[in-house]
Amino acid sequence: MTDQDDVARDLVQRAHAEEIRPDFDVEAGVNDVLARAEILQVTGVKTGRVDPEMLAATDNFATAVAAAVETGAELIEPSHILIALARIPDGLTRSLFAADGIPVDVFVDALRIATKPARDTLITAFTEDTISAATHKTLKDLAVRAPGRTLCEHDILAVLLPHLEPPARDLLAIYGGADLARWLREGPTITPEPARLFGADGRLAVDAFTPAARTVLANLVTEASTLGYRELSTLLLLHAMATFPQGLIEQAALFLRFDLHRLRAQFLVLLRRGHTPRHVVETTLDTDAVGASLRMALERAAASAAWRGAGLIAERDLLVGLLDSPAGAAVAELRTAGIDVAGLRRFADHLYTELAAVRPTSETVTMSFQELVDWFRANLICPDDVVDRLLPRVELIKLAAQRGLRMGERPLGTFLFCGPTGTGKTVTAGFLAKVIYGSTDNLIVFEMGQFNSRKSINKFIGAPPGYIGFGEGQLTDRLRRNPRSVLLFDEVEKAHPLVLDALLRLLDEGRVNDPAGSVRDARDAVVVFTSNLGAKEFAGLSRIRKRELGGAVVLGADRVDQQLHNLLGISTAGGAAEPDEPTIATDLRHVLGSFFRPEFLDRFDETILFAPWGARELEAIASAGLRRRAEQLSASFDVKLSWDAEVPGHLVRDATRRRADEAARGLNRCVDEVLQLLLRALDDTEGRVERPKAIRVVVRQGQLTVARHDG
Amino acid sequence: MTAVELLGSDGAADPDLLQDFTDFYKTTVHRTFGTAYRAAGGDKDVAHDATQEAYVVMLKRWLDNKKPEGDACHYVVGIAVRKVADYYRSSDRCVPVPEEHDCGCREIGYAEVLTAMTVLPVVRDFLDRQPPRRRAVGVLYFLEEFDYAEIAEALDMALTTVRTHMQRLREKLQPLIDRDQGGEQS
Repeated sequence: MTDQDDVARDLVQRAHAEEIRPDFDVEAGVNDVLARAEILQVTGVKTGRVDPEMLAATDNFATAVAAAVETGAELIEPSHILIALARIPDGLTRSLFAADGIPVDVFVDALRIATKPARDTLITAFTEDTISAATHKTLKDLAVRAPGRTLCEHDILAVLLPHLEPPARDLLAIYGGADLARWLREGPTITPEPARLFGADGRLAVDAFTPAARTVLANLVTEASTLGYRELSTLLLLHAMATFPQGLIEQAALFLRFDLHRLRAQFLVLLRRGHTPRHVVETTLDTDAVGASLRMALERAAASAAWRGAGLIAERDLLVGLLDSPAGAAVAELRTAGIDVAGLRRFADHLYTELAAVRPTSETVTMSFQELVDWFRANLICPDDVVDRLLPRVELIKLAAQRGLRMGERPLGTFLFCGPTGTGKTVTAGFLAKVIYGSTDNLIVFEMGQFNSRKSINKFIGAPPGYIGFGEGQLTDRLRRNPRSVLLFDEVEKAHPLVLDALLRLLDEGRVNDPAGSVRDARDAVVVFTSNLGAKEFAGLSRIRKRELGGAVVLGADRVDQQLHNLLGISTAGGAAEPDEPTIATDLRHVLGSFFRPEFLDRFDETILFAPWGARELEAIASAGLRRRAEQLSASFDVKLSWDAEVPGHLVRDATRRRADEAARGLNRCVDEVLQLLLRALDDTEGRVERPKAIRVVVRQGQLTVARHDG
Repeated sequence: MTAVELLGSDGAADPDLLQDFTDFYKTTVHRTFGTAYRAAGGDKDVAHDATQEAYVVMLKRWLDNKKPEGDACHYVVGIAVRKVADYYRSSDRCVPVPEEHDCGCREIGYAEVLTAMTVLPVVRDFLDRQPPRRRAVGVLYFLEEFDYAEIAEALDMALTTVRTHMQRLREKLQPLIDRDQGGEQS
């Protein structure tokens, strides 16, 4: 064992010796250690730097410890040192309190009320473990202040006041009316200047916030619009923070073990109480919309950020702003929900770290429903039948979501999109997310091909306790993060039947059991299944029939068979039909029926069969592809791209000839070939002649070519 | 002389003692930082902070004339590694547990492709990927040659826990040792 250990030691030591480590500045290090030690000396009773008379008067700052105990705080804050100073008879601080007419004991009492008393205060001495981060900072500043001379009371006051925590500062400055700037005037200390919140145009300066805080603000606007509020309030901000995925409140819920779902539900109830939502509300973050209470909370947040010495207003500052509001609405709501507010605050101060920016805050655009419909029709390249069939349902979902109405114990909407590949099923789901929830970010895609084995259920909804994958179910996790989203289960026929069983409960009851504990609620979600079932059957349809169908066959959920018969030309009364079509219809019904159990099929609100594109739609797709390329070229090379009217038609013919099986994807690949031509043209001109400013795609002798079009 | 007298009303600490400490710091800090750096799994900031804090503790003892018996550097290293482990203990609560907390060293098929040149980085990588407490145990045992009792005292854990950690480390280090020895022979 020992020999073997020696070998291991030798190996590890060699590995360690060989490593190149970052430099260590020894000289600066010594000074740093001494400065750190000095902080300890200040906190730990004796130091040569502090005025001995003051130390004696404060009993080596034992009075600060007493003040902390008296106010029921858990840690010694700068305000407790301030109280200790104010209790020195004939001291400077005492005179300042007296001059502004604030009795020290009243201040202590008010502070005790402002801070929720800790259950058991354990502070017995002034040590590193019993001081708060702010006090630590204060003492650090004190250690480097005025080197070479004894620190007097004013020196301590000068480093103390800028670090004073918000409740104490507000008590002094707002309620006590103390002029803290005057208190500081004798000493050359810089008071932190809070960031300006509103720009000259009256809009909130979002640049002053960290990315996470900006996301909260965007969330605030979205939620306000959805709930129909024109004026933004603190309660809305609290609600926005609670619904921010992986934000402060959500992380605190895990840490402090409170029920986040209940909290969110509670906020929704409060927000809807006595409030009649307008049909459509456009809410923006400007001076008119931000209510007085919210404005004050935001100002406090800015002050808190400045006090921390942080450049940007973070999420924790927003929380501080909410908790310190004089009306205390936010605190009251949180306490009603049974949340330990002091614990939440401590979590925010010491433990919470903001996530790195995941995505930039997008400007929320609020559109009326009619505008949305127009946008939907204009942008979604899809047969009109499909749009007509989808829209009433979407309108219902949208209006219900706006008023917080749920469809009973089930998701807001459930759709099954069938059809061959490349007919726009997935794209349509993305559009649904945009229309219903306002952003394509709210689309959660599951490639069901990944869940094709029995074991993949563990990956899908999470494994039971003790197994790998516990608490990591993809569906449950993503549903937890964002319950208001379109869940797209792509190519569902590829999933294992066991996985489908889990989905049955989702469709039926609007919830999924997470083996990690809670039940995930999907009642605010829209569920879309896509499937290639029916692709084969469509391939068998005659060309004429395809054209007649024109694009889409739309099936009502409850009458699949009957609709199939009707739409495929088979009358339910047994009317005549083309001889090959009963087989197709039967096959299709058979395929759907054999894959999805009847109870599964019955649960879809709409079953929509996407047929292969007609020439008109394909041309529109080609044009859209070309437009995308044009934007790309103009952004990357500053080249303007245009094309002749017959180019999309040519592309469609080309794609139908060469890539008949790939549908829209094949067409997009043909569009990509145009890009190849363009890049080649740019390459040829590189370095020889002036780079073209504009390029035109034309059809010459049945071939696509590109030409300069500078004129 | 006590700390109170040293830092009493006349102010400064004994200059000789401070000079002693400064010399001690300058000669030992690289080693302490190196060990703390390994214990922190290559996190420079954590290692730096832990090192400095360890010397602060040392300074207090130094000025109180309570210098540890024996190797003072040994003592500082112990505190620094303890501070690193404590840091992770307090901060790990809020971060999700990494998928592969109790990781192996990619035994299967990996040893075959290793050359003697690459063993050493892999050893470092192996240590870095250990859970913080186990890494601290490993660093103290292998780098600083603490014995089990000393590790248990420095990290405030039971002797049996130290043994368990060491057992796991040994098992997983073995393929690397074999590879290293094989590399030297060939």
